Amino acid sequence: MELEAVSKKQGGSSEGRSHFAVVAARVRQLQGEAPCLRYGRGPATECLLGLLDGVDGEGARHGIETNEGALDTLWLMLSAFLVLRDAVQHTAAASAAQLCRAVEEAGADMMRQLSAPYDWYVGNLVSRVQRTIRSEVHAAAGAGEVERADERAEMLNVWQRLPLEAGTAPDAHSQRGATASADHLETQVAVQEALTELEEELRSSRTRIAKQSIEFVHAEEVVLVHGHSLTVLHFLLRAAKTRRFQVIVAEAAPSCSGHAMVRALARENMDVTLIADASVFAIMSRVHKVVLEGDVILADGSAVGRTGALLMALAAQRHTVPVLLLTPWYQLSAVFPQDFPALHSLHSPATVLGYADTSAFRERVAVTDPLYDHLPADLVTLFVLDRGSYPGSFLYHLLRDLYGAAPGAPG
Amino acid sequence: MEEDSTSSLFSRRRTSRLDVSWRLASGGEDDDASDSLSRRSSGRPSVAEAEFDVVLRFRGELARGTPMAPAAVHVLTHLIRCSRAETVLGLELELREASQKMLFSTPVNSLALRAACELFLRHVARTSLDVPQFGECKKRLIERGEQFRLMVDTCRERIGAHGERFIMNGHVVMTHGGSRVVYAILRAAVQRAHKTFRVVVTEGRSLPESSSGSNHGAVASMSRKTMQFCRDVLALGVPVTVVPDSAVAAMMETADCVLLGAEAVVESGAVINQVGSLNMALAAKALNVKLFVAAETYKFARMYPLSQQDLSDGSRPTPYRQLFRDEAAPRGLMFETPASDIIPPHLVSLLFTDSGVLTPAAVSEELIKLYQ
Repeated sequence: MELEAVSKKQGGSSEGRSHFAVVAARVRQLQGEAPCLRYGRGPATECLLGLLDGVDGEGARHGIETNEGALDTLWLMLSAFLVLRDAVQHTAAASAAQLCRAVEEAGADMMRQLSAPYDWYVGNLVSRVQRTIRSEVHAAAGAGEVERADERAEMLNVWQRLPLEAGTAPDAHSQRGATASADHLETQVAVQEALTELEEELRSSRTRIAKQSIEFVHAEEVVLVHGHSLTVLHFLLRAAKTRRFQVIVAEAAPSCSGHAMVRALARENMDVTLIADASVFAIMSRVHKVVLEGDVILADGSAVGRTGALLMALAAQRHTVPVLLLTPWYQLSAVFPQDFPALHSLHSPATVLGYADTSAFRERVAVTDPLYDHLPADLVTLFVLDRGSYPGSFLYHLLRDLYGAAPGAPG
Repeated sequence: MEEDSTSSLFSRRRTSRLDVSWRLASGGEDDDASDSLSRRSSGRPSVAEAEFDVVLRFRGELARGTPMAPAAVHVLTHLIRCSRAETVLGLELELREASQKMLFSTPVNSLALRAACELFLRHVARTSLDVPQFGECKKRLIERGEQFRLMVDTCRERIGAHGERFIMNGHVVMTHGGSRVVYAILRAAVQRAHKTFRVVVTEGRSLPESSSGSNHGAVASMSRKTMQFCRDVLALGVPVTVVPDSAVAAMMETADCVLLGAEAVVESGAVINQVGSLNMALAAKALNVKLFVAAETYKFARMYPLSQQDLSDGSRPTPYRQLFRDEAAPRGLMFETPASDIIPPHLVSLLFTDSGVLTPAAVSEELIKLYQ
C-alpha cells in the first residue's frame, strides 16, 4: 500500500540529493536578504516538507504542524532520514565529528518545527545516525586501537575511566576518535552503506513488527486494542492471514480514532467490536491480549501512550491479561519521565465540550483534555520491537545498542 | 563462647562461599579474638609487614574521613610501592594478605571493602596481563592507584549530577543511614539546580555506636553518621525532620521519593544497606513511592545472596543488654541484631551510579564489565 509509494519516492531521491543543496543555497540567500528568516525554517525542514508534500499533499503538512495524528509516522521518519542522509553527503568536511555536527544541525532544524512526539522521533533518529557514522568512521580509520578506546569511553566504569597515560585527560581518547579522518573513499562508502542499511531497517520496521504477530495472536482469541494505530493495524492484519480471531476496539474518545480503526479492520472482513472507553474494565475478563502502541518509551521502561492506554493497562493487570506494546525502535528514548515535559501536554478541550456549550458555567468549570498517559514499567508485559520482543528490564541494553549512551548520562 | 564463635567462623569460612560476615563481638572481647585470627591468617610474615603496618595505615585513612573502599585501595597501592616482591604472584599474595588484615580489623562487616579489595586484585591481574614487564606493571599500578584516589570525589560529583534530576521542587525526600553519596546528591540539587525540598531522616539507630550512653533504650539515640548527615544537610538550608525507625511506614505517605545509599550492590541488582533499609523499601513499594539507590561502581560485588540469612551470621547480644541495666536480663531471652539487610531488586526503581542511571537489571552487565 503506502510502502510502494515510498519506494517510488526512493527512485525520486536523486532529485532529493540535489534538492537539499539547492534549498540550502536559497535559504542562505534569503537569510542574507531578510534576517528575520534566520529563525524560520532552515533548509532541512524545507526539504522535509518538500518530500512529504510530494507524497501526501496538504494533509501531511497539516499533520506536522498541528499534531493531529493524521500523519503516518513512518513516512515522516523516512523523509527525515533522507534529509539527514543528504546533509551527510553534502558536508564538505570529512571527519566523524563534523559529519555528526552536520546531522545534528539538520536534525535540530527539523525538531524545532515538529511537535511532540515527532520531535523526539527525529531526535532519536539523529542519535542513531550519529552513532552509525561514528562507528563506521572508527572502524575504517583506526582498526582495533581506536575502537577499544571508544569502547572504554562507553564503558565508563571506575577502573577503565582512568587515563591510559599519565597526564592525558580522561576524555582524550574520545576526542582522538572523533577527529579520526574520513578522508578515504572507503570510509565514505562505508558510511553510506551503513546509512542505507539503516534506511532499510526503518523502512521495514512496521512489517517486521507485524511478522511477529503470529507468535502472539492465536486462533479464537479476543484481542483488545485502543484507538487507531497503523502499526497495530498491520500487526492484526498479518495475524488474520492465517487465523481467525476477534478484535475489540476501544473508541478512544474524544478523538474517537477507534472509529477509523474499526472501519479499517472491517474492510478486511475481520470480526470487530467497538466499545466505549468506560467499558474497558467490564470487558477485560473476556480478553486474551491487549495490543497497544505507545508514543514514546522512556529509559526506565515506562511508556507514554495516548489517554486511555493507562486505564486499559491497569484493567489488564487486574485481570492478568498480557499487555503487548508495539514499539518501532525510534520510539525508544534515553530520557527519564522528568525530562519529558510533553508528558503533560493538553489538547484543545473543544473536542470534549464545545465552547458554545459552556456559556452557562464558563467561569466555574475547567475542561481539560490531556494528550498522554504515563504507563509505569511494570504494566507492560512485553515490548515488541522490530528486532524482537523484550521485557522492560532489557531496555537499558537496547538503548545502549541503538544510541551508545547510558540513559540519563549528562552531556 | 569465644571459642565457639571463632571455631564456627572458621568452619563457616571453609565451607561457605558467602563468608561475607565475620562476627567479632563489639567491645573489649574483640582484641583476643582478632589477634588470634590475624595470627592464624598471616602464618608466614611477609617481608613488607615489618616496614608497613597495613591496619594502622588503614585506620589512619578512615580517621581522615576517606570512605572505606578508597582507603583500602590507597593502602594497597602504598603496599605495592613498599613491596619487595619480584613477581606478580608474590605481589598478589601480599595484597591478599593485606586485604584479609584490613577486613578483620573492621568491627562491622564491610561488603564495600571486600568488593573493592577483590576488584583491586582483579585489576592487578588484568594489568599484569596487559603489561608483561614487572617494573612497568608496578609503576602503572601505583599510578592508577593514586588516580583512583582522586577519582573518588569525581565519582560522587557524577552521582550527584545524575541523581539531582530526580528531585523536584517541593518534594519530601526520605532517607536512612546518612550516606555521603546521598548528601552529594542533595547538595547538587541545592547548589547546582537551586531546588527547594525537605528531607526526612530516620534516626538510624545503629547499635554498636549508640549503645554507649543510651538510657534504657527509651531515649532515641542516633548514630554518629546520621547526626553528621543531618548537620550537613541543615547547613545547606534544607529542612530536616528526624523520625524514629519504627515510624518509617507511618511517615511514608508524606514522602515523594526515598533515596538511599548502599554498602554493596550485588549481582541480582539487590542492594545491601544498613538495617532498616528493607523496612523503608517495603513501605515505599506499598505506597507507590519510588526508591532510588545511590552507589559508586566500586561497591558492586560479585555475590548472590538469596535471603537475609545469607548476610547475617550469629548475633550481637551485648548492646541490648543495656535495656536491662538495673535488673538482670530474663533468663533465656535471645537477642538478634543484624547490621545490614538486603533490599530485593523488585523494590528498587533506579540506581544512580557513576556509570549512569541504571535499572536493577543492568547491574549484572555492569559487573561483567567491571570484572572483565
